[in-house]
Amino acid sequence: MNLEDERPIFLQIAEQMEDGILSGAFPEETQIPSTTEISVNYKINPATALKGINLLVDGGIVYKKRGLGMFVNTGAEKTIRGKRKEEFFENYITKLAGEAKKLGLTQEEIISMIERGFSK
Amino acid sequence: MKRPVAIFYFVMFCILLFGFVVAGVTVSSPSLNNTVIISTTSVSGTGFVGMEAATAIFLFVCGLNSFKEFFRMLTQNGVSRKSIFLGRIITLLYVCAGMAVIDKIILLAGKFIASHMSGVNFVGLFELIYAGRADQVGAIHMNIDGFLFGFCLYLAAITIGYFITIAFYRMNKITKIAVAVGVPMVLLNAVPYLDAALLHGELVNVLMNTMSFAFGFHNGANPYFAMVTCLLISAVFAALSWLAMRKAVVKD
Amino acid sequence: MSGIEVRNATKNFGNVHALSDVTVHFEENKIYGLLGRNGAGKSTLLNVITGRIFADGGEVLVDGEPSLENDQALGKIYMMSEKNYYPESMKIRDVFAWTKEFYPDFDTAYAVRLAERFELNIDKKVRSLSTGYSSIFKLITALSTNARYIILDEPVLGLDANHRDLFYKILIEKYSENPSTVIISTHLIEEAAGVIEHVIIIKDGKVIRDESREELMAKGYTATGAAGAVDQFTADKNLLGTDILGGLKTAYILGKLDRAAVPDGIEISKMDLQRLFIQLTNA
Repeated sequence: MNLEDERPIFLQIAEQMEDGILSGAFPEETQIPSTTEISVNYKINPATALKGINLLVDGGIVYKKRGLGMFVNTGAEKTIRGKRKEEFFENYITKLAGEAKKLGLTQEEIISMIERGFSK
Repeated sequence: MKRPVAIFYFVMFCILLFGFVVAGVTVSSPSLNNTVIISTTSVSGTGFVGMEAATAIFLFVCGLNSFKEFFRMLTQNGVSRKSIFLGRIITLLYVCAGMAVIDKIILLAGKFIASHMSGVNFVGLFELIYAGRADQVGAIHMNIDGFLFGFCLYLAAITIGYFITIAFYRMNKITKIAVAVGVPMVLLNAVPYLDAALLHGELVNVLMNTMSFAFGFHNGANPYFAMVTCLLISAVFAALSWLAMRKAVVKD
Repeated sequence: MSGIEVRNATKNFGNVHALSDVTVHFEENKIYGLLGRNGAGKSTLLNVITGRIFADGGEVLVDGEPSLENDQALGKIYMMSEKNYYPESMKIRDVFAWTKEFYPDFDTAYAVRLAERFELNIDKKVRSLSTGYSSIFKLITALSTNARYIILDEPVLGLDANHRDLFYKILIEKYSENPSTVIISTHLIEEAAGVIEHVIIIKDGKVIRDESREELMAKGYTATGAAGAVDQFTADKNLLGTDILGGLKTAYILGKLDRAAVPDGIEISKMDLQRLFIQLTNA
């Protein structure tokens, strides 16, 4: 969690939760930490944490069980992966192209770099 | 408030005890007779005289007690100045009434003990000042009057003390020094001097007459005048205290 | 209107204009950051709100009622400040008891638990506390009052890193379970930035910024590059300040960032709250 990161904190919170779901830390149909726990852990305002969680609710990733808390939706993993693949292009590819242009790298150089990266 | 009052009475008790012991000893030995203990005027015989003066002085000093600490703590806890002032006034009334009662009891007890020690007197302040009245009214009346007189006197003493504390709290350093030095200088030196030089002592005469009137001596000895005077003094100084307090700010 | 409303507050100390026509509204159930340099007027504003000093002009309303000499209004507010207004010889335990007299919602059990977490011995006397523990004692008292409006003026003064960490955790826990308005005035901006929802910046007795932290942060960014290019880029922008390292210039800009309009050779990055504050309040 980085306050210097450009993106708003609530977005980062949502991402962290998603990472947790992808990595198996929060299995489907289990409970995720409460807004209080999240805000205490990251030392952020509870309202911000709530905003992040609501993002996940809107995205169908978690849902609220009355009286119990927030639970990971079935199929959340799949939803997240799908979303992330979409975002991959925006976040990585566009930036890569931009940086590459700045450095004067050609597409061929990029492709060979990618191959090198995958073989690691 | 409780602690200082308790200490006061403890000291008072010790002094009285000591006094009675000494009185007992001196009375029985002729050469030491006519010892006067704790007297505010001259009185023949051995005895305790005018104990209430001690109480009045004590209360005056109490009024001088730390306004600063009290004010800060109550302001920290969100109490308005109005409430602080009213609370204080009520406390003052309780303390004065309480001490007036206790002093009366001490007086009666002291008298009782003294009556069993020949030659030892125990005279209250009130009786001392309004001795003439004793002939006019019964003993119970005197006692009640004594209690009321005490209460009014104490109230005046404590409100004056309280006002002085608040006034000093409001003043900055320079003003404090100016007042602490200047006021006594003026009252005790400048005024009498000017009076003697310019008015031929008229001012002092007028003052003496007013005081005499205020304390009921113009027509025999009437304590009710004194009580009213003291109550007026209390009211005036209480009002002044409020004026000083309403704009008080929390300082460092 | 609920909340604490300060309207056109003015306060002068001799020639010093400590507060000039300050109008600000602290809403219910929000965590505010009141930021300002030393002498900017933060403490003056807070002292006026709590009735410790009188404003020369303007007024303060608490939930719609004027707070001047108003026990009810004042009873909704509790402030902890640098100064200690409790009798020096009092034990902390007794301070809690007294505070409960004035603030009936004071949660003594909670205060005792907090004291344990901070390893504060509540049988100690007020005067025997170090700077750090004095702050700890005061902030515990403040948080335990459950007042509608809790003001913390430099709550972490003298606290070591571990205790500061603990403080923020406790603040968030309490706020989560029992929301109220919390106004934090602090010089440790970056630390507190996470918990602060709404930022109010005071400079020379005037409020220069009053907006949510998110909004404010979105308006600040830095542009770094060759001096010439940066100057060109910032010509039409609200430039707060610059840093120069040889030919490399960093410009601090206030305004909405238009990514598309950033020329090559200019690196854009985000300004954190502290840097933004510094740039906004430098002379």
